Amino acid sequence: MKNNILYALLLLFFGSIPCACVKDKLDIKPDKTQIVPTTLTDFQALLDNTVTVFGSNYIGAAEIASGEYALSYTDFQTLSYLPEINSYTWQKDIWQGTAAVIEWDSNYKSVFYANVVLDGLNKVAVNYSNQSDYTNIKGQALFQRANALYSVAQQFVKVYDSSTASKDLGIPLRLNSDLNEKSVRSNVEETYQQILTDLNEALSLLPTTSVSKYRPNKCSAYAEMARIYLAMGDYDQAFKNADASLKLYANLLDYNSLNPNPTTSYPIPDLNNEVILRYGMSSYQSFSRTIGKIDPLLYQSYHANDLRKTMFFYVNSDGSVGFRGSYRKSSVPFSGLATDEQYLIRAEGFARKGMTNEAMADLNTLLTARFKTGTFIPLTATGSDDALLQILAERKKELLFRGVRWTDLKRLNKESRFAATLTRSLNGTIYTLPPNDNRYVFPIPDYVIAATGMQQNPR
Amino acid sequence: MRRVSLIVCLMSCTVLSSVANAISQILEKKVTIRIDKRNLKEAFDLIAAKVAVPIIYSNSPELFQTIVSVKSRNQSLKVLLNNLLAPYPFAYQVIDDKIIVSHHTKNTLPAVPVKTLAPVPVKGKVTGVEGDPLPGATVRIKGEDNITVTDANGEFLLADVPLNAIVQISYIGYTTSEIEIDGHTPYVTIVLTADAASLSEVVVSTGYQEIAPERTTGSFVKVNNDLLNRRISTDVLSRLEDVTSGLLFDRRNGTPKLDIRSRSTILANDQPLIVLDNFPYDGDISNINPNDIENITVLKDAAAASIWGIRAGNGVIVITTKKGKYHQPMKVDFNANLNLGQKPALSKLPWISSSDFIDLEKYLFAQGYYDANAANTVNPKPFTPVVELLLAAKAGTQSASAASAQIDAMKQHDVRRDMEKYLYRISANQQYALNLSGGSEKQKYYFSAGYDKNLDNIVNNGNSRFTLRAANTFRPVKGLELNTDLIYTETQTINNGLDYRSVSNGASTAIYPYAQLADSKGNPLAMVRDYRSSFVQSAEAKGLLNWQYVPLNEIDNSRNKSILSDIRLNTAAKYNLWDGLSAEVRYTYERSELNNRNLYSQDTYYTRNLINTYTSINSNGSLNRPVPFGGILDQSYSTINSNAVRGQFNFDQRWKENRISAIAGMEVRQVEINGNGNRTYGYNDELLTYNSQINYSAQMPTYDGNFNFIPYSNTRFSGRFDANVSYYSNAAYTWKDRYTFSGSARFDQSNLLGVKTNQKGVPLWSIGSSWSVDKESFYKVTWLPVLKVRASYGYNGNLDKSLSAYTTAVYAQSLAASGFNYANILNPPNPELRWEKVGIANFGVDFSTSKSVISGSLEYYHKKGTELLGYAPVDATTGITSYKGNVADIASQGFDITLITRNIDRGFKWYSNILFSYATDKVTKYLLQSTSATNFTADASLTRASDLIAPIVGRPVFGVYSYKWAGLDPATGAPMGYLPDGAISKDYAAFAALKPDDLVYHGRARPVVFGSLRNTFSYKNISLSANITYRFGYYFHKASINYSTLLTTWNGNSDYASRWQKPGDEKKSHVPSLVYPGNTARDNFYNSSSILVQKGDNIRLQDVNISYALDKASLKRIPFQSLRFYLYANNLGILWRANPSGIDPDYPVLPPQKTLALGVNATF
Repeated sequence: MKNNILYALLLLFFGSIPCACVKDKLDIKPDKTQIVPTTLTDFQALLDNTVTVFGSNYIGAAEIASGEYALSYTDFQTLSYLPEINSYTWQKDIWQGTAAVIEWDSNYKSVFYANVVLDGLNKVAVNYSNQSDYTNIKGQALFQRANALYSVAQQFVKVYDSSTASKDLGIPLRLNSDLNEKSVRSNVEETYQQILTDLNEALSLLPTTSVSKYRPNKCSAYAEMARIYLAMGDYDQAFKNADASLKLYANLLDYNSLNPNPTTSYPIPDLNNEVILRYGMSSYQSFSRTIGKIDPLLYQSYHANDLRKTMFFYVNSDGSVGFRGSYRKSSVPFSGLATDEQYLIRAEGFARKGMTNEAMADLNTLLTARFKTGTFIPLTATGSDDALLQILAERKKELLFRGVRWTDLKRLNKESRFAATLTRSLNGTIYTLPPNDNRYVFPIPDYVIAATGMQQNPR
Repeated sequence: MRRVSLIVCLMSCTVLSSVANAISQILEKKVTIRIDKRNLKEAFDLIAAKVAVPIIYSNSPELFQTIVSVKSRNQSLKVLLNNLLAPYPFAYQVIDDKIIVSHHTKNTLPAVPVKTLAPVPVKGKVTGVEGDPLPGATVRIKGEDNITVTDANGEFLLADVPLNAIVQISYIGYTTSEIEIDGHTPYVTIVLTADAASLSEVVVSTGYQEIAPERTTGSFVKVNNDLLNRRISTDVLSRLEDVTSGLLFDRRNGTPKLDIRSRSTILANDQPLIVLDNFPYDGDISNINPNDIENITVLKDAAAASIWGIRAGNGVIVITTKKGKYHQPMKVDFNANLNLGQKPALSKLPWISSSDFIDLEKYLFAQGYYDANAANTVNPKPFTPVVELLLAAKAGTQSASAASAQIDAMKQHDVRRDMEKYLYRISANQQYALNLSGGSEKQKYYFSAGYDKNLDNIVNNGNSRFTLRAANTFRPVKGLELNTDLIYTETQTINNGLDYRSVSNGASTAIYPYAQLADSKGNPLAMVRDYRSSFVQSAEAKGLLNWQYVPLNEIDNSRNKSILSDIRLNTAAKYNLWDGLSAEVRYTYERSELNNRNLYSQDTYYTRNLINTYTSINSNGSLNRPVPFGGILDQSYSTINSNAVRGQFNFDQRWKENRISAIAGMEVRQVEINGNGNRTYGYNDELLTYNSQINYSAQMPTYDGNFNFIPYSNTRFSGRFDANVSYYSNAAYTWKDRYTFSGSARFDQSNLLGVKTNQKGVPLWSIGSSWSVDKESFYKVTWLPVLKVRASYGYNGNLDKSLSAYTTAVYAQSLAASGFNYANILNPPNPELRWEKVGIANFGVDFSTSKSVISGSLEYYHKKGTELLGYAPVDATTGITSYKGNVADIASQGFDITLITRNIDRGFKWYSNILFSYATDKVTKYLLQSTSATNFTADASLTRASDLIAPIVGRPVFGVYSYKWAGLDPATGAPMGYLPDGAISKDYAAFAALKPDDLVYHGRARPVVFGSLRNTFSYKNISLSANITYRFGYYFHKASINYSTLLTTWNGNSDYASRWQKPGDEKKSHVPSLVYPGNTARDNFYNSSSILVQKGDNIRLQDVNISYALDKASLKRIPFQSLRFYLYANNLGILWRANPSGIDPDYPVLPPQKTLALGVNATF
């Protein structure tokens, strides 16, 4: 009898375990910090990853190849990263077997994150209370995808030329998060159309203002489109978008408000008045102000009353000049969107339309914020071509280390009057990069070619 | 004394020669006792308890029927026993300090005529030395068909035994014995001694049940207490090394990894499951005091381990603790030892010499290498003293001759000497352990306390451990057994020292080889760190804190301590429901707490550096210090809470020639791990004040003009939860004690993220069978009385909980600079994700020759791991660069041989234990093989860095690959290699772009053949054993000079000295010439070339143990029952190695330190 009671108790005990606790426990997450992203909060958190994903444009290789700086031979010899060495001297093979090319990998990582968000949003039910967040997040994701694809396009495809764009090799357009889809190259036309489609849709979804300069808004979308149309040589559209962007936000930073102390490392504040959207650039050793020495001619071209001469540059003990004007207030160059660039785009647009006065007005507005108060004498132009020349010269002086020079060189080389041959000199050896050279298009990393069999760019 | 031959006892090793002495000693023991009307059995028990000598008797009915009364006042045991037994048909005998009582035949039976021809029946019993019956022992008449097996009580009946026949009794794990039947003895008690040299013992434990080796079908290795205690160590696991067949300690990654047989996973957990008594152990394994451990069983194949299901994929190690015994007087056991270890021989570090390094610096200086940094006034990286002197000489602030004299003086310094002198010491580990155990009829107990104090080799590092354990078992009513076991451990670790790697000149640079830690009088010296000394001085002049780094002061100023406490409660209730059927419930609770407290006082470089880094100078020259004065206190706290409940039915029934033993049960287990950490700035340890106004929210200006957030604690919050539900069953059927069939099945469920509950399970199973050939009547090989064959097949599993079928993301715990919370994608979606499965087939033979002269086992296994997780490099355009999924299969196979030979077995004894294992693995499927040669030539698989393993189909998981070497260019000393087309090339990019198939494949990075030869010699009270271990069939990349690394990090290899310098050198050396600027591709080619690959094969004298045992017989008037002194020396050195460079391939950087321990073990 006693046995049977115990037996019954034991059975009861065993039987009760599964019912009581087991099933629920198996649904507890093994790690609290882990999630399967499904909510709008999760998607926003993915888009807010400006730390390892969206904080940068990953166009450092292009900046090395086009930067307005020179390395001494001794400094050049201290470089250890092969792509940096090769890019600086415009070698045919840039990557030389480098296992991870961030200019490709990291931009496509941004695309993947954006696609995870976009795919995930399809499964979120939209209702009255979440609709504004939903459209905002979708807009951000589309913007980020477009921005990352554009960063790839700047470096890995030829400049847009409407006559050949549908034949020129473009970049792979990955539009969903399915890893099994094979990567194939589009053509340049498709590449830019996709980028613009994303941006146009983003434009319709993004809010007019965002809570942070780390998140895109309508103004960012216009500014980004202005940048892209400019790169494509569509100056009319570039003008329209720059204008739309400036209508939403046109503040300039008066450099007179900055501390001119020559020893201050980075005098221009982060997230300052001019910044529309904050991005950094992949940073390389040569960008260091003690190594990358600014072309003395360029430095001398700034007027003595031009505050940029102080704010942008740091005079090293040996008299050489390094750059300290990052809008990120650090050694990492700023490559985001800012109003100064939009003024220059709009000015160029005016000039190319032949509207000389309007063009010079924009240029003068910008320069007023750059010169010592009361010293600036407004510039004038003899005609629209003169205006254009002045604007392009100012563009070079204003947008230093901003990740736009490579693209400017590519588009301007198409116009013979602006075509330029770049030269670099090291230990008596002269390296040159003639206009429209194949080397304006970076080779696709070898491991991508190996994994996908896609066609390599000719060098 | 014919009776003597009735009782056969063979003893293992030591005390045989002292038996005669011992007999007299025991029998002379004085006893005061009064026994009133008890049966003989009870009387024996009482006397045994009184004199603390076991008395062994058979369960003859007469023992219970005979009622006796006896009184003794200080009589000798001999007189007492003689008086007690005189009227009855019993006689006694002292054997191996035990008293064995048997039937005294002459009083009960008439004398049998000596030459009677008629065969007689012989009844008897086979027991172990503790009197425990041994069921299933084989009893045969030598040379005849007559054979039987002992029953559940260990008894047997042999009909028709001819007179003077030899009866052979064998049992696996015991020494085979032979006795002569003389016809006077209708009942014999045969005591078998466990074979101390043998690996198996009375039972092996799976953590769920205990099985007699006779009936096992699987592959077990049991390490008994003697063998465990042969090695002296603070932890348990290292005691398994080199004495466990098939277990390899793989030290490629520094901390040893345990490989049971060959590898069965690629990226998932590759370590065996550790079970303490009945449940997995979740705490730190180094917490377990080896003195509390009775034995360890290693489960190697599916039949043995599949009862552990998804956690058994890498094998299981079951640790069984010591327990008290019923009917045992209190026994006190004390063990103490001191283990001393050499200082590491830092002079063996293959570092570039000071003079070479200085010459290189001079050369680089001439090349302008230092110009850029010299011009940097904002954040100049540190220069070595030599470069500073060269700069001073160049600038004219110092005369060239004075600078040159100082530089020449520096060439004499070797920082390794200073390190050895000031950072290291002789290690001293003290261990003390005391335990009490015993039991009465209804209760048994075990209490222990242990204290370990370890002073590490590194000055100011060490730990101390305190352990307490109380285990009690009660039998309150018949059939019910209750068990409680409580273990408490507290370990304090002090980690204030510096090792040779942690003294550096900054984040990216190592230390320069001529650095001085102290001057000739021993006063600590400062070294440059992080910044140039001129920069540091000018900062100090502006009012910043002292910015000097004095390594030796850091050792004194550090206060880094962690306390790990662990409490584990094991309870069990077992009740016999019906005959053979019992039910048990077990519950275990474990809580482990780790508290770490690291106080960086303002005296530490860490704190001063942080304060200075965040100091900015206002325009009026005043200083702005967002990081406040005072200490920085980092505290972290983490807990592991584990609960497990198990309900199980046991069934064990024998009828006629059948025997079934089965278990079935269910187990629920959950483990919760939580952690947190915090940092306090401005902390004052005397007043307990701190600064609560730290601005973490804005970027602060730094001294070098950048902006940064003030760092918060680097310990984050963590919260993990593991839940497992398992249903399991295991059954074995034995027929005629010869044929055993076993089967097991287990179903596991676990809380995998993103998988529906009903998909979380996986069924795993095994089957096995064994055949005791020696029990067949047709088996007449008398020289091989034990022969058993067995086979098993089944599946174990493995699991990686970091993966999920869905896209998973993980929130970063601190905000991004934007002020937002943000998340990282952890793994891409994988709807096909499955558990890893490992199928194992095992075939084994156990044997023993007559009198166990040679015994052992031979096992062959074949493992097939399927659906294994692998990293597949994918098209980076997808946005991820590698992908983890079920993409791989591995097939592995091998054999384990264990042999025990008794070479000499007389007064002087010589036994040998031979372990031989052969283990290979081969990747048989890998969906997306890496295409980059650098993934294979890098040392990833050599260091066992799991996320960098790049498998190739048809090759082992850990393979050694290289570029084919073609010598040095005679003109330039540049390294050259053969491209696949046979061309000699210096196009290093072409080598880096090679396909993996074009590389030279040398072989495995992990030994294929390994094992040991342990010889034990004993004579009288002295026993000596020496273990020689060997490892064959593997390769390693020898480290050599990498010029690019040397330039940027100051890390140079001593091969620099033999580099190519002029034409002709290429005939003497394979070290390429120095080139500046450094060429990484060239360095990578050379360091990955075949010239640097060497064979790892070696034979080493691992350790020697000498022990000297005294016993009561040898020493009068000491209160000990036994007293043993031992001496143990470990890591004695390599006897032979295949590589000519003198490198110890298992410790490629620094050879292991020799240790010498001496200790004492006493029982009273």
